[in-house]
Amino acid sequence: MPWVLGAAVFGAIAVTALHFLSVRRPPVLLLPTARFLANRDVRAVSRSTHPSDVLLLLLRVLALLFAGIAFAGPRWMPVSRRVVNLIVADRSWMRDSGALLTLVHAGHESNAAVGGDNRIVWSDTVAVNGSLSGMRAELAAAFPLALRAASQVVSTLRDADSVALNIVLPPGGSASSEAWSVWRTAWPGAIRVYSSVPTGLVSAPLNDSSMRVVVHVTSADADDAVTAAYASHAVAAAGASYASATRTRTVRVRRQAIDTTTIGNDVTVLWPTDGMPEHWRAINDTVGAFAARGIAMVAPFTRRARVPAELLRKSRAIAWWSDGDVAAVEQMKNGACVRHVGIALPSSGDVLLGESARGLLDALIAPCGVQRRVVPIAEVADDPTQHAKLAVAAALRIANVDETSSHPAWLAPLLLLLALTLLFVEWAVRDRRRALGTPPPASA
Amino acid sequence: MSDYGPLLDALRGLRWPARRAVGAALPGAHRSRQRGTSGEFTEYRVYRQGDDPKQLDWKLLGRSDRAFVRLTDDRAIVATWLIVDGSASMAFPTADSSSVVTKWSVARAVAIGLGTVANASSDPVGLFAVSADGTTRLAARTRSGTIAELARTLDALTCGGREPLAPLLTMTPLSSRIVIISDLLGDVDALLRTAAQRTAAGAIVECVHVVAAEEIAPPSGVYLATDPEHTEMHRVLDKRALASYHAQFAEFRADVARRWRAAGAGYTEVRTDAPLPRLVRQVVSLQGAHL
Repeated sequence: MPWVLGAAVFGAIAVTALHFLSVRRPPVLLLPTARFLANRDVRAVSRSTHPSDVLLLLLRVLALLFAGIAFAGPRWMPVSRRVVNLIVADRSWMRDSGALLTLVHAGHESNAAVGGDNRIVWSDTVAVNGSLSGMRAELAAAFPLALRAASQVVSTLRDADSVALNIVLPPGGSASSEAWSVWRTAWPGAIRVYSSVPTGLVSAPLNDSSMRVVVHVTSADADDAVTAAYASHAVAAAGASYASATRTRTVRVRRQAIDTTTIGNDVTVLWPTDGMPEHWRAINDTVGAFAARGIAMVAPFTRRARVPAELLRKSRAIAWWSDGDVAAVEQMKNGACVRHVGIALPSSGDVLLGESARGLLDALIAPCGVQRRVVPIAEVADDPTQHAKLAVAAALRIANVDETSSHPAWLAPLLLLLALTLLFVEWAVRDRRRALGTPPPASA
Repeated sequence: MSDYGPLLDALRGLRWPARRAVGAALPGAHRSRQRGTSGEFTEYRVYRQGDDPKQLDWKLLGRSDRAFVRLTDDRAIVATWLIVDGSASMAFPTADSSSVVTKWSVARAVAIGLGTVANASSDPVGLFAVSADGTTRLAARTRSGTIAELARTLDALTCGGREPLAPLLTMTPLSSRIVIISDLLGDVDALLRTAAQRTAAGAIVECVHVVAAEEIAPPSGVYLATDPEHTEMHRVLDKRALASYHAQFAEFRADVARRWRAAGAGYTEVRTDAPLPRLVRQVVSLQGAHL
């Protein structure tokens, strides 16, 4: 209740003014002919330009302020500012949250934000809308989530002083829209928006001169299209530097069902010939294209399975159907990288030998994990006119009945006790002066 | 006593005749109401039956065949009683140093001066004084050393209290000259009433009203004025109050002067900023005239 504190401050100012304006008794002069002076109020004459009684003034003002603070609901804040570093990112970063924090902190200029408490809010909305399926990654969609999360965090952390909001957009995400401007006014501070940028090019895994990629395709069919495709693809991509490689990444492509628990540290690609990986939901329809690593392959495909939502939350999509559905995912399992591909290929043919298949083939033999970095979007993050500072936690805190109580709970009673003690001392001082015969100030 | 040396030197040769004829007493310097046989002729009066034939002016009878009695006035002494007010109000201004002239110091000097002048005419001089020590009395004496004793007694007193002066008047003889030295801020009404009674009974009453210069012109500034004899009284002294104060105090002084004179007593106002010899001369020579 800030108005209580305001009233206390007003009262203190009034008391101070009374001490300045108070009329004191003038010095005593023994005058035998005093009887010839008019009889009027002895206090209505002398005005002091200095505070009439500094000790009493201090006691009264402090008592008023302590009482006002006690009734206003005081909060004890530590001397050091506690900053909550709120990061809103899509779930694709969930498995690399440490890397995400490092990347966000590296892009932050504020030491307070870097040293603050990190709270990551995983956003399904950003993840779905920010997919590379052609749908727009809308920044404004993450805003209600950020506001709600910030309110909950600062309401929980009473000593939080400010909130640094970081929004990490998926690749291709957009921050420019009318909704952004509307939501932007609702956030009482600076916002840093980052865009996820893949660190490698499409052919980067195979162009890495220090990495030798060995692809083993296991298939029961001798004319398997995948076997043929990798036989041609690896030789074309490796080039001259292939021979000088010092490290080896082995990619085992299984075209038949196996027990995944036996998989080692290498990349394992489970690509059933019927296009229906284990635990996927069975469907049956047709799709005209899929895309991977930015390269679309157009052909009449039969879609036999769909990734379950539960698996999708634990995985990272690496290929998508043209309608946005996920066609292949990557999953870290017991430290090993397993990729599931739900694309049914014709039993024979050169469908994977074309240039349009290079995206999928590269995605399957690329290094596991998220190889990307975050880049601040300058025009969104920097707003020197209105939102140059971090958001104040008090502006985000949820107002409720509990706001009127103190934190910690003993603070208000302690302040009230102090105020009462000061009032008692003030009374004692006045009483003592009266007993000693000292003329009290008029305001007393 | 040496403090009063210059004052006594300045008063040498000064005489203080009584304002009225005094009663029968030992031969002295004052005109007596008693017709006597002194060699100083005063007037003739037609002889009346019963007059002493020895007082007839036979030479005049022989020349003009008219019987006249030759009258002569007697000269007599008159006891002078000094009633000195040593109440708390006389210790004004507050003496921060001995150089400050207070009403009490002026009252003492005037008393000693008047006593000296009276004693020089062989008049007995007595003293009543009220002070913090109570009432002090010195019997009226003529002998040498009276003035020194008077000075010692007064110097030993300390101002204080608010003892009334009126009862002291009734303790003085009717055939005496009573000099009241006071600021008249105490029991002025009772004192005036008693003085009027004593005057009607034949006493010669002189009032010496001591007024401090600081009372006429109080210090500027803002003060809480307190009456030393009535410490519960607090009045504000500032520029606004000063105008009415001047008027009130002047009216008071004029009123007491009028009332004292109307009662047949002499009245002299003495101010503390005037030279002491002049104050004594004013009392002695003007005989109650206005200052």
